Amino acid sequence: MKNTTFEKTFLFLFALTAVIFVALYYRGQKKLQAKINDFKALTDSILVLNDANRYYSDLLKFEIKSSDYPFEKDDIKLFNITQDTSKSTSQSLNSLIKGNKFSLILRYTEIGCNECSSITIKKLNQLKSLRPDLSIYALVDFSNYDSYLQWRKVGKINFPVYYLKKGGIAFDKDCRDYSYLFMIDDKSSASKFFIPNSGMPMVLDYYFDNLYNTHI
Amino acid sequence: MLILSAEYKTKLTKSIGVTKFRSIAMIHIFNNQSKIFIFSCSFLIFFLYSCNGKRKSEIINNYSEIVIDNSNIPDTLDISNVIDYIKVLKLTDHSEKPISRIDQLYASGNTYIVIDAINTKRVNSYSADGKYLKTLMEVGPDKKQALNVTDCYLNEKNEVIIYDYAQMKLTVFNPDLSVKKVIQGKNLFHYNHIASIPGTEDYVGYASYNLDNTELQRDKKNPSSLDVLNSKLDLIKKHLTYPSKFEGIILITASKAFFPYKDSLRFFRAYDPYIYNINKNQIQRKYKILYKKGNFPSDFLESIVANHLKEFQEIGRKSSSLQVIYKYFSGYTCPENWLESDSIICLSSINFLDRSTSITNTIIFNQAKKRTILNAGTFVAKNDFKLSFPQFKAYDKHNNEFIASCTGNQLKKQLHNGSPLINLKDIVDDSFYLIKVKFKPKR
Repeated sequence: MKNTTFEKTFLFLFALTAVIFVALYYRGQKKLQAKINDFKALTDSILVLNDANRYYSDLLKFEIKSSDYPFEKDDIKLFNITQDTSKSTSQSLNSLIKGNKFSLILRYTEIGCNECSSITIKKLNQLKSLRPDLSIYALVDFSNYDSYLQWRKVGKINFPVYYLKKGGIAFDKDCRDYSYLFMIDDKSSASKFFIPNSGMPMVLDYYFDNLYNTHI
Repeated sequence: MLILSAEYKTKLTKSIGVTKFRSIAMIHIFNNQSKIFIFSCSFLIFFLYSCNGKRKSEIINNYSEIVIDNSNIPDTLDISNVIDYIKVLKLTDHSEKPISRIDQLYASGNTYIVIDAINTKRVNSYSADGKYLKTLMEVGPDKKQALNVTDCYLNEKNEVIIYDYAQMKLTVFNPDLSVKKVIQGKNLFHYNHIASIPGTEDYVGYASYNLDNTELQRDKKNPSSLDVLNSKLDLIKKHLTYPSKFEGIILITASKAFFPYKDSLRFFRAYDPYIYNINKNQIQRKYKILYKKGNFPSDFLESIVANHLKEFQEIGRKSSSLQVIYKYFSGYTCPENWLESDSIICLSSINFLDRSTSITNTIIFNQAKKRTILNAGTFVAKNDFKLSFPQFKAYDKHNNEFIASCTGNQLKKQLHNGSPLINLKDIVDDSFYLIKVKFKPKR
């Protein structure tokens, strides 16, 4: 009888220990998972910060390197494809910007970040609607006519569009895979280089606000 | 265990006395407990193994071979004699909700569903006469909108399923295009395409090699390309598993992977010669596409990629080009698309030659005892319709029409002089057009 009780007690204690062990194990696992999730969140934050730093650094380098670059505008041949896409007659960039106090240029490349270009075009459309007299031009390098037609349709572009082959302007070599913005003043000096990033729309807002307040 | 223990106790008490018995009994109990423990552990391991076994399932081989003679494929092939009619339909876009490309197209008899997954990230619906009906999904901050629209699917019940990749969220629309339900998965698994399995509440997701799912699925050893998910989008089974060293390699992924066929689902993917059939009970290999010349090796992971693994993993980071595989192989892989009616299969093969990609189109007429296969770079209808066909993208089972799509600018180039289908002056360059083809019932 005693032995039976002993066995039962032992079994009970064993079962209890096992339950406690399992409970502790799961608690530990939960804590571990929570730590892993925290770690992942921190890693993600660091990655976002790294990306932001890299972006600011690239912006700075592009601006420093490209500003006051010898701008051989006379050699740059453009084709107005705003309405007629036959590309039959060319004109120089010089004749395009002549007489403007300054011109804002979007150099658009069809590869790269679509969303970055989209938000920029929306901003440019807004700017052009507010100030129709403003000289805004897009220089595009579409290799596919259908892609251009769709881009024009979806973007509802309300400023002149010119075709300029990839690499046709000096700054392309430092920014091959992204669209970028810059200004040319009446002294033929290029400045205010900017690469839009849809991940940081507030920087784009700042660029346009600053442009509007200081030059328009 | 307890009966055995009692017998053992009686024997021991008789031979060695009570005190010794107690100490031996302790050992015996410990032995018994150890046995229970070992048994429990074994059971647990077996149970877990069984569960794991349920998650990875075999695919049944039950395929017939389709041999495509690609030794001399003509640039164009006139198929006028097999065409019943061709109709051209313009899709009229809403000025505020246009699309700029057609990545996937579906037809449900009186509605056309179109997804632009790259540029506008929008899913639009159009009526039978091409008028814009509504935008089913687009990217936006509203809860009803998506973070990222990458895929849509029209199932056998004419329900539209739209997959938001960024949120692992499915929005299911009734045939009248009202929202039926929204399913938000607990786990952010990543798939290129998701479809519903006919006759069930389950779903199936296709993940190409460059989608990192193993960490999310907590199964780093078994990356898989085809997963079965339950109605809550929890993972049930993994199919087409591959060695984990290949996870993250960058290869081509077609814009479609699933096609509803009767009460089942066809599944296809690039670099794989098989067309799979998925139904509520099983997955089987239904067809095997073989080319007479230059078959893409079905063991390409081991025979091509393994020897250049780093290059395949790094290409996405260093270059936007996916042409690395052409360095090591030239030939055919299929299918880029698969459409199937009761008697006709339309498929397009990807052809890697001279380090570039081209598409070869194939129409297969499946008759009772005879299979006729036509191949061409482009199919044309020279006689009555005077048209070169763009690639077929959808099959409308209600009207038995195969449908191709193109822009107005492309359509002008596809039409030959004197085509009765549409007046060239009426074509708008940046609009989209559907070319609907019905083949003659018997050839």
